Amino acid sequence: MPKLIISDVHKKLGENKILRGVSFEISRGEVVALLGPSGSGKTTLLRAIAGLDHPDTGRITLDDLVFFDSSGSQVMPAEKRNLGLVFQSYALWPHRTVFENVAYGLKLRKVPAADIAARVSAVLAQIGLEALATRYPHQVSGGQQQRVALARALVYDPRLILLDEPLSNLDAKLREEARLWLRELIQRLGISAVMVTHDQTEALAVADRILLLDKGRIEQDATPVGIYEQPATLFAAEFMGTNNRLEGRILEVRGGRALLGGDGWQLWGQLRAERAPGDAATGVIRLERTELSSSPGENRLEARLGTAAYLGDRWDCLVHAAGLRLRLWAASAPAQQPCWISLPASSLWIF
Amino acid sequence: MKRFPWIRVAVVMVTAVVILTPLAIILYQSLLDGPFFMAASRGSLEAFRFVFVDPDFHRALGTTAALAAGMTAIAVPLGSLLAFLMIRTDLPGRHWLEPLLLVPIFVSPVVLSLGYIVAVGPVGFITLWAKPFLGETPWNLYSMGSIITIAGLTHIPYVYLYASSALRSVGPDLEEAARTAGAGPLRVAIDVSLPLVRPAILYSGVLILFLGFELFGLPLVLGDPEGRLVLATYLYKLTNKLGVPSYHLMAVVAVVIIAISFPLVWLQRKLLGQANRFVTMRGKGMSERPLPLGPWRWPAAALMAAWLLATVVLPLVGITLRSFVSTWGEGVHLFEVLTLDHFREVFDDGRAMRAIVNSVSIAIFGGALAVAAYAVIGLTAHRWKSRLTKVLDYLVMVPRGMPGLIAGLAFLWVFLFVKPLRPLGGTLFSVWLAYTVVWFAYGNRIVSSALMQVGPELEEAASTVGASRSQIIRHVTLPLIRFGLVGAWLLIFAIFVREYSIGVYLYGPDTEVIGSLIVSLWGAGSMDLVAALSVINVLLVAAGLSVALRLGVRLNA
Repeated sequence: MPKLIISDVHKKLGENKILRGVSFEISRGEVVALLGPSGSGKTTLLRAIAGLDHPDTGRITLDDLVFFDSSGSQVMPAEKRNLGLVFQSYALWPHRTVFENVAYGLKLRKVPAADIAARVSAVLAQIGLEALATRYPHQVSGGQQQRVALARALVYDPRLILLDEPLSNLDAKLREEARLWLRELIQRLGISAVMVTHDQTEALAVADRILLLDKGRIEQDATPVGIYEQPATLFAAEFMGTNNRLEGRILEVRGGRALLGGDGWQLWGQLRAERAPGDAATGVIRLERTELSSSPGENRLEARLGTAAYLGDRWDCLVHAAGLRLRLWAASAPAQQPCWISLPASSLWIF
Repeated sequence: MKRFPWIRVAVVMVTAVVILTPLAIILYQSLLDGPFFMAASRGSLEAFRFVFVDPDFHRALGTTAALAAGMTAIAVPLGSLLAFLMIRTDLPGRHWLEPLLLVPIFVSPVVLSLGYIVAVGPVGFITLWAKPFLGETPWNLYSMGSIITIAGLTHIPYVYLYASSALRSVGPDLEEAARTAGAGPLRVAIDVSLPLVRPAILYSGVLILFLGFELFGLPLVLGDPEGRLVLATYLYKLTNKLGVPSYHLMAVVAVVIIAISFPLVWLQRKLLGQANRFVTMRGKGMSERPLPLGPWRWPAAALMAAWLLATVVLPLVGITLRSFVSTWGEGVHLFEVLTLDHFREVFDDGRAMRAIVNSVSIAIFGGALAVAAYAVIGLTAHRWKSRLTKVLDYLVMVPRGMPGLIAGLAFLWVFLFVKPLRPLGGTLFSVWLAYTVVWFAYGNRIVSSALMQVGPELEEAASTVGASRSQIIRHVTLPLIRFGLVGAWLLIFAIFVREYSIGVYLYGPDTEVIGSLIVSLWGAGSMDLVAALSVINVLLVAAGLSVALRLGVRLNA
């Protein structure tokens, strides 16, 4: 049973088309990430759901409530939508204590003072900040501010919670912990959430479903596993993960596979776009699927090591093979020269 | 090895002498029992005793306190509300309204008051028009309530200036967070935006309070008909009270005014430190998104229009109309009395023409010189790690606490008292010096805000490639603040043309300026000439400001 329905939303800012016909649905209890590079329209979309920006055309509904409808020119003001929004900057009110920040939404909903105290304490306990209730925002750490912002958006049981790059202002270490913490919290509360992020790891870790956006359009709508392992387009394949990219021409098509070739090399891969022999095409393979080999074989190229950088848990190697520059991750630096590099056909996508 | 900064120290010393001498002479004079130039004058507290038992003084003090408190109570809430509407919401017309909003700051209060008399005084245009509908004279412009209301309404722009610049620095995400939490526009203003700028509002409240204690032009014109005196007008009337120069008594009143305003200026300074307490980081890539007012949009616009009508349109249209009619009163028909005679009279009157020429030259050349002086002082303090910059900081406060009327009086005395300066007394130089000192704080703020925009790394870069300090100033700093200095010149031009109170005492046969001539002619009752001169005065200010606006200078410096 769908809950939030976005249909054919368009938005132009001057000549710049920010959203060009975005449609999707989010079911109750689902956590969806809007993922995309900057300028893809993801933040605009989130703000349109929140009511802080209005699309030019389209329709946004939540259950039986019409948030926005350009055909009937209906616009529900942001304050009536009963949503929770966690800002990228947290936007904690500096003149209010942690408690007052969280309590504000309840106060606006005319909840009796005693209930406010109980509910705020409960939500602060849930995020482990009950001891900091009387502090001002600038007196708590960045990670704690992020939790307060979340508590403030959750306390009045919004129909939907919106998160705008919720983890991007945290340090790298803290961010990793916060990712899991956030996922656990959302799962435990069983709420629906829409999260905007440009960080693929964040989207993969937190969301049940990822909408990949590019230039105001949805490129792919899939689960984290689906979007990483079965990218639908070249953009999706290249946006996720770290990849080797091979430019060449289709030499042969056989079933779902194709032979991609260039100057001095030929490789089989999975054909993921409409291509015929003779067409220019691009091969993409994830770095973790590119491997070193000690012997020649099918889909292997003879290679020479360019350089290798030690990253602690692995070596990041640059190799030269038949005029191609390829990267791969190896457990140890290749000692043997020359070596072979293996690009398994099942992992090489051809677009 | 660092050389002793002779030039910088000298600049600080000269500034200190120029600013402190007038203050010192007022204090000295207040402790004598007669004018300082009479050999018989002795040190005594007689003057204080005389003033403190004068019932007129007590009445003036009471009136001043009521006026200051009343206008603060009106200007602060309305000014804050106005700032919120203008800066944060989708109020219709907010983009072109701002220069109009600031008009009361740039128009002489004497001119505004005269405009009110002409428009809504006992025989004003509006009064006579409204009388048949409302019966009897519907209002009394000269009542205490009216004076307080007018003072309050015309001081709203000062509150607006500070509240609006503070509001601009509040991240819009803080307001958006309140909206998504369920707050409507009014709640957002009351719960989030205004509390965040509370320090700035408090600061402007103190400013209004001490402007209230220094009020001169408005009560001079509007308080006169019913004999209502405030401290400054009491001081002004003292001149004629005893027949002989009662310098010692005037000095005592000046000391009282300074004694009230100095603590307020100091308090303001303390508050300034806190004013930026809540300035928050803005979210990345967030553009200004005005808060939609929804159904409040048009009522808010109406409120705004009503205020503009009352404080800008009414007095300015009134005084303009008056300058084009030969006579006005009950039963006079407008189209029968239209005339250009008053302007002809101005052009035929030697004194009036001299006043116009003087005003314009002081504003153009004196303004440029004043900006040069402010720039020298600004550059002296610029990136100077020395305790003397603190001294400059405190020196700025002195002219702020000294209203124009008193500064004019003090400089008159300086040029009488300091023998080597006597030949310069009664020249335009003395007037210019007084203007420059009185507006020192204002000019200093404009120049230093331009200087603050010069990134330190730009000057450090020049220094690492081998530029000396003076070369850095000439080749990097000055070129970068050039536009800021031109803007400062235009603003100072408008302020100097407008100025009326400094010239009241520095008024001599060669030094009259438009503002002080208006005060003097108003005292003599020649309303025709006063109206025409007022219009010319407003036009000159408008000319300066429109050039400034054309060049993109921000009026709310």
